[in-house]
Amino acid sequence: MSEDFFLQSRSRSYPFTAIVGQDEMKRALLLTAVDPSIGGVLIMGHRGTAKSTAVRALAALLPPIPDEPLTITLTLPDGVVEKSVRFSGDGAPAGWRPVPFVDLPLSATEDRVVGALDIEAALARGQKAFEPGLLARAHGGFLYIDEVNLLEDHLVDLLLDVAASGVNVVEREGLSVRHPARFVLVGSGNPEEGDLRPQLLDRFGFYVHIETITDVKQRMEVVNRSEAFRRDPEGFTRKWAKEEAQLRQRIQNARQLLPEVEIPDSLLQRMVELCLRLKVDGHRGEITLSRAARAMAAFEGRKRVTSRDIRRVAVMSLQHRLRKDPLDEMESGEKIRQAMKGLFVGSSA
Amino acid sequence: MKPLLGLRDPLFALSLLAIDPGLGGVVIAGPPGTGKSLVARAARVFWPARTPFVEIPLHVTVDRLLGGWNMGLSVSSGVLSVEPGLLAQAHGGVVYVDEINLLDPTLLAILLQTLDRGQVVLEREGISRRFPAQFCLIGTCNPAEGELPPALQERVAFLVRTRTLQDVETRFFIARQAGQRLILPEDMVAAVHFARKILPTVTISKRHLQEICAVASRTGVQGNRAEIFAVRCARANAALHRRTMVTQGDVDLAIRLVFVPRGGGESLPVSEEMDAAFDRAEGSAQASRSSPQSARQGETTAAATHPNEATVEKTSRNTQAASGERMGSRAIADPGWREAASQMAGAVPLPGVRNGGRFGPSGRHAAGLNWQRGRHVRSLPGRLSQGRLDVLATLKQVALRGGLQGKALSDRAIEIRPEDIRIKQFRRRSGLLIIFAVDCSGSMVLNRLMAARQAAIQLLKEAYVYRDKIALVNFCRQEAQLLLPPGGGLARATRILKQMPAGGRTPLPSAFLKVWEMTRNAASRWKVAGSMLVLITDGRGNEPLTPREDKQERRAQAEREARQLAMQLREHLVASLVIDTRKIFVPDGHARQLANWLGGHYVYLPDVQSEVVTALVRSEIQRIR
Repeated sequence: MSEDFFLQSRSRSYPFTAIVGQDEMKRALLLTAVDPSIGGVLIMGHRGTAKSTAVRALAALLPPIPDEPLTITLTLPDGVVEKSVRFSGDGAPAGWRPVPFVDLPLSATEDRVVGALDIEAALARGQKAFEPGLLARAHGGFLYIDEVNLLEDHLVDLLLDVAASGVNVVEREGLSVRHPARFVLVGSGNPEEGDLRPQLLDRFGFYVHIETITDVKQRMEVVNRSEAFRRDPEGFTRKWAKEEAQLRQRIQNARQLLPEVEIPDSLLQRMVELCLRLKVDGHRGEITLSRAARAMAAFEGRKRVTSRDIRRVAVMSLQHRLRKDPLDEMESGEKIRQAMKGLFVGSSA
Repeated sequence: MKPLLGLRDPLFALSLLAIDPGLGGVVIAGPPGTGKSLVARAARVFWPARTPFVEIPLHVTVDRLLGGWNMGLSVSSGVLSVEPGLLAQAHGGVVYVDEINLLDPTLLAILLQTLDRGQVVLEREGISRRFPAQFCLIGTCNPAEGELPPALQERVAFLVRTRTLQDVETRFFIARQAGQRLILPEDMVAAVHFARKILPTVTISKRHLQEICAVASRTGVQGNRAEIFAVRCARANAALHRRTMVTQGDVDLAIRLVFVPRGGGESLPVSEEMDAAFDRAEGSAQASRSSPQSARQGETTAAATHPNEATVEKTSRNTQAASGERMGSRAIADPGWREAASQMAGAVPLPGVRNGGRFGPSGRHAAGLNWQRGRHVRSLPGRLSQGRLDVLATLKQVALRGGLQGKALSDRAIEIRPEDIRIKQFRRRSGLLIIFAVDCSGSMVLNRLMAARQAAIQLLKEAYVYRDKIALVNFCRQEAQLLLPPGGGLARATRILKQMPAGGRTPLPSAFLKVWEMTRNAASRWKVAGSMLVLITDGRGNEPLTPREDKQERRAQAEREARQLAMQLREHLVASLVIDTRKIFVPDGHARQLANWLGGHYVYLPDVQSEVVTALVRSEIQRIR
């Protein structure tokens, strides 16, 4: 009975292109795929709005990356040893591998996140070996945390350290290990379940606030597609394969174009002006905004950033960087839109 | 079938879930002793034989839930083996949690994450594994013991209530059944099994789909799960009635079952339609009844009825009506309060009511790192008598000092020295639960509420450091309301003002009852070290829990109750603060009396300001931390 029902329904991920509406969320995820240096996406909002579906769908959409091994440096009593580790990835041509996409569950323990002594090797053979953790697997790819605001504090601290330095250092159980760990952080959650630590919030390039679709026609489409996918995941995926391939190609083209994209000085100046108007602390605001605008232009197939590009990415780049005033009822997205008035007009520079 | 009267809604919802596990789950709410777990366990027969039905105890550990090392087998066989947890065992079947609203929030989050993924993602203690875990969820809860977490409610199609039936016969039957199995009629079970087979052929028209989606938009539910559930519910009901087309009746039923509890409607009204549907499902067509509802809903089969049942139900309703309208309506809205109140007053619990013993006073416990409870954070050298042995860490220690000498575990003779012993260290959060109770009766309400809200928001922003939880209760008119449940974030706190009733009488005892419900299991449910009450009021209570007609009596009763409850609350609070907002100061007024009963501090603050309130609370926190 239910076994068949279940097995066919959830064995593969829902196609990204088949997600109805939620354009802001989709745009944020796509731009991060174009330029990982934007620094990840945090999607917060209503439950049951395809947040994690979209993130997992993105993983299937990403073009493969060159298959380079991870170098792990072990400090032993008799000197320093370097070891290369490869994580198997199937479904990619030789020399390439799928973009690492690591799901960090709330229940993960610290040793599995940072890596630890390989217990099987130690107990079965008395060997002292390092078993890489989730951070090693995520290197060069994405690290996804669903319900990120519920993650245990000590894991958050750990992530913050590694995200800031790009290096994972393990000093435990008589091991001394380090390896690079650069990844794009993607998080999702419902703000009513609890707040996010401000330091962690600051780590994310984009912040997307997601709400329930209210349009009845779109809701009907959501139900229809969800049912169709559950009934026949293979067939449904096949139906959307062409759209998926096109979007994948578009991301790839945008990545190639990205180094050539330029921002006119006048626009750059106005971006800084916008951040000043909004009293955004530090420089992360304008850095993210300019990277996002360039990725937007590249995604549109242009080599020159326009005012329109900036208007489309400003809210997601800045809204989590504004100072919170509990007395202020105005929504931060609206505040940014008002501050942009007169700064970025028309579709050209 | 007579004795099943009060369990019809749950039974019906469970049969739909058995027809389509895509409905996610059923949560059965109701006061203790109304047969919640009886019906949940009995419904097992709705599923095919050998379908896993896994019960999860409240004290389950994460390892047991998700899986972990099988130490016994590992040591005896010499090969390390991983044992799948309860959720993996439930793959293809049902997970059942009794009193699911009391499940530790961390465990609940893990459970729901697994439900969403359909897979156990095990990344713990050196293990990296995946197990398929596709299941649906059945839970029971007593709403008087704690709010149903919204994240849970959103993932299941149905929240149904057991009906409290007043007739002696039903109660007697349930009491006699306690500990025994409830046997469901065979034809009902057969109808469910048949429905499951034809479900894939059932279709829904565009018009009906549109109606369901329009209702979703109108009621403003969060997310798209509600309409997906409603469509599935309508199809399952059609299948139960051996139809392959969804009718208007199916849609009406789905809207009622799925959207009403989500729209804030506390419970389903006793529905004749559902009874009619059930009678048909039982397949016992004897006499036909032609009530307008059943005619509208049932387009295929004639509704059957059992004359006896109808009489019983009518009688019980009359009894309720006769006992005074106010009392009757309260009994329906929150039947649990009476039991709760009697427990609080230290009275003998009613038969079938669990006494409060399991929830020890949560007040005066310090928390933090310890050797017994909470989340396992690390393992440290120690003595065996000190706490729980971490076998794996201990073996690692032996391996690291060369104690294994390259031999495998199967060689058995492994020498474990005292310095190898590793004891698990756990962490309990050491935050506080700070409850604001705000009097919103009478006039000048807005000032008080604004101040409390602002203080709550300010404290929420500081709450990261100590993981404090903030709650806000307001009381006015007939009853106190929980506006901000503990653990709700800033987003929820800022919305408070938009949904607030005010004026009328002062139901202080009701507010105390709400506070007591939160504090008595605060340690286990909210992971806090203690609770603190901030009461903002300008007068005394005049609306008791037990209805009184006469004005004088009402006031006296309210005062008696307030005093009784305050003394009980005192045991559960680490601190309390009564802020008196009367315009004219009265020495030894009611507010000061309340502070005495609560064993807390009294502050006179006629023009209540949020900064002052925040500062007062902060200094109180610092004193006890």
